[in-house]
Amino acid sequence: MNRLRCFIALSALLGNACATPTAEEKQHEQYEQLSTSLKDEKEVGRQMAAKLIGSMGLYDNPDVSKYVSLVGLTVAAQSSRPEITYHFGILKSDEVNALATPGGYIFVTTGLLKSLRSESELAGILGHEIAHVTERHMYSEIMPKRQVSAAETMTRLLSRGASDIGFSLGKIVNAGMDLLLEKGLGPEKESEADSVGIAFAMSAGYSANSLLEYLRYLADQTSGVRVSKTHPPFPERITNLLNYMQKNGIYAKSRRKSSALLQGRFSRAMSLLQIGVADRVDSTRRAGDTSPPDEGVKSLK
Amino acid sequence: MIFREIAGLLASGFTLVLFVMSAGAAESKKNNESERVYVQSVKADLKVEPQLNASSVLSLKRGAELLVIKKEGSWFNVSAAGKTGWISKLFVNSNRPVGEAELASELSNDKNLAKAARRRSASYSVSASTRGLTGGSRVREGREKYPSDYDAVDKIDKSKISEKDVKKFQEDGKLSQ
Repeated sequence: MNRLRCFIALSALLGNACATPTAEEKQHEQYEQLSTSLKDEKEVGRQMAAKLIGSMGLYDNPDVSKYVSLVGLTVAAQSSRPEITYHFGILKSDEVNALATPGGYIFVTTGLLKSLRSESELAGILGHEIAHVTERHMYSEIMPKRQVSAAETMTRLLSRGASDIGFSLGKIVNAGMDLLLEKGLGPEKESEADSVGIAFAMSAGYSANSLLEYLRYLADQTSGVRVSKTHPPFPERITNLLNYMQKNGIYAKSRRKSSALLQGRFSRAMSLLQIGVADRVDSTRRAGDTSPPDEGVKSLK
Repeated sequence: MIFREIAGLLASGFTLVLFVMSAGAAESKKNNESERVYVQSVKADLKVEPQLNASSVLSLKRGAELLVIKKEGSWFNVSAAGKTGWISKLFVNSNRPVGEAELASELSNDKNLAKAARRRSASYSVSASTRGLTGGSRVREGREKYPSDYDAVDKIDKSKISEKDVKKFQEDGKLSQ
């Protein structure tokens, strides 16, 4: 009799657990998983963002920050992860660099802004960083990869889903910082970020050639010397990006001039950077102009 | 007697696990047969061939549902609104697009939570979660290699730019066409 009761109870459980989920339930499950993973990712990224700012300082000019954010959000609107709220900031550093942390915190340095020649170049750079986030380049690298045993799963189930990974948060953040500032993500992911980044920027309406032209310009300025320990040498990135662009038929031999509209607002925003005229790349230069700039990327050594 | 009942229960439990696993496999197979993806970017084009520069068959907006016919590299051959074409995987995902705020409000919905609780019994997944350590958790400074400035991050978090402003920025720069 007891066994019969057990059977009935188990049958009821089975019926409940194996009922085919409705479309709404399935979507809710997806959203639930998305929400949980996003919270984790964002917290890691936020702590990394705090460390980046703590190390370099935030360049706080509301107008320049807003301009960078608007370009970034325009590109991000074309990305594959609308659930992420992107945040853009400017770091006080003469080094020409842009950085992304998981969860959507994206930074450019004042040094990078000074080296840019057009809004499209900025869009290409921000597209590259957004791509690191959408493709989870860093996050997938720093999150612990380990098999969870059945016993551990049961323990977690009994503790109502609480996870002990939270106690590794500090370690995860530090691993991310090491990748960001010391080791780099590796040539494959950087190359992918270049390709994905221009796909986003181009889809947002910017010139597909801009990032390639900017990389060529930096390569010229540094005479091919490797300037970044976290990124592959410029010639390697240029070759890979060019291959991708040619394969997709988006490489234009004749360079498209930046529109007067874009160039005008770019120049206005950059003129707000608190730098001397002599320090800044001549804002009247058009993207694709390969003649040497006045000062250009003098911070690149 | 008690021992026999425990053994019976264990056997039933094992059957239950097998049943759930097979049901899950069947469900997964069913899903593969009619895989759908959704446009995540604000806009995307369905292309004649799998190439970014290929001409457009159809202009799609965020949320458009696409039926996957086949995959080729980083491209999906899909059908939508009676037309077939190619779309880069960069612009689509398997879930319906949702913004961060919308995601939070969706999950705070009581009705959905009740459903989720029911479903969770059958589909628990272990998450590498940092839940419970958000808000207020601050990495101690001093011993840290990189000092933290949370006030500045708070400032970045609070500086919101509306979708309307972004749209105006795109239109002003004639980027939307």
